[in-house]
Amino acid sequence: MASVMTQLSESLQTLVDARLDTIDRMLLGRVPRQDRLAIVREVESQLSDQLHERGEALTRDDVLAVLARLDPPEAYLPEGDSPFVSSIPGTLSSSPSRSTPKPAPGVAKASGILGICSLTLVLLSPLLLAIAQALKSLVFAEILLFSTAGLIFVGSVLSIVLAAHGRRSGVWAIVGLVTGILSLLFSMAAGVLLIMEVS
Amino acid sequence: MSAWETQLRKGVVELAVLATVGRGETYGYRIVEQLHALVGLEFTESTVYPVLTRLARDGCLAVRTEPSPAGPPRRYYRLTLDGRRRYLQISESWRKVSGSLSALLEGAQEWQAS
Repeated sequence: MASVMTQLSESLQTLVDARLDTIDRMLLGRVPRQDRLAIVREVESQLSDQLHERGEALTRDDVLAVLARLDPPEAYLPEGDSPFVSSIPGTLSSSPSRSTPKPAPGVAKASGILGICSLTLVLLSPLLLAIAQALKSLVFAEILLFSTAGLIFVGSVLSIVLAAHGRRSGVWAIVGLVTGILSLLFSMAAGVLLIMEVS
Repeated sequence: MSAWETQLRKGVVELAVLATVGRGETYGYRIVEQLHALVGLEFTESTVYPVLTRLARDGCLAVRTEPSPAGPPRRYYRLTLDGRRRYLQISESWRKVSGSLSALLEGAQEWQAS
């Protein structure tokens, strides 16, 4: 936290900074970063005004009295709201609502879409195989097939990972998980067959 | 605090902040002081600042920073066109709800008295 109250000694500034840091931690992962910084800046500004009202030579008691008049850091926890960010390592562990953060809905949706795309590619693979066979160039056909298999593999793995990250809750996450596993199995089987055929 | 109180409080704080800023450009601590002085609207900084920053993020408030003699630069807020629109919308809703509710409560008082 930036040192802004020049009239404060280092030890008193530490007291102020500790309070601001605690408020910052309370808001971390619960409100957007920009809002969090703005809120802490507002509290810092208020603290400065209140300390300024007490005169020039500030004592430890002055600072403690001003800090005591402020709302406790816990008061900044949004009432009944879920965290803004689904999970941040090392934080969100002090209250029950923080220990079970909700996944971001976009993650589950991305998982589902990726899974569906991967499975669609799998279903289109016979068509691609036909195209590859129609091509005269063996190298080009291999590139087409391997790149398709690679895309299916990456898409399915990503959809499984995102579904797991989305706590496997919600329709999108379940769709992502199922289609991802199916696509992965198909792509692995197709890969093995291709390698056998090539060798 | 019960769920309905939380919801009611959220709406009231937003309206109170918009109404305070609507009186003219002002800064966070002054808004807190002004609201704190009003009976029934004794909102403190932990309630006001999150609403202020959210309204600024939503484009309802414009923010201007100016050096302060007391410490860090002060953030001055004023209503934008969107903010004015939102204020009018919420205040209109509030008037309707509070008017109807007051009439209802007066009716209930008469019923209790009889």
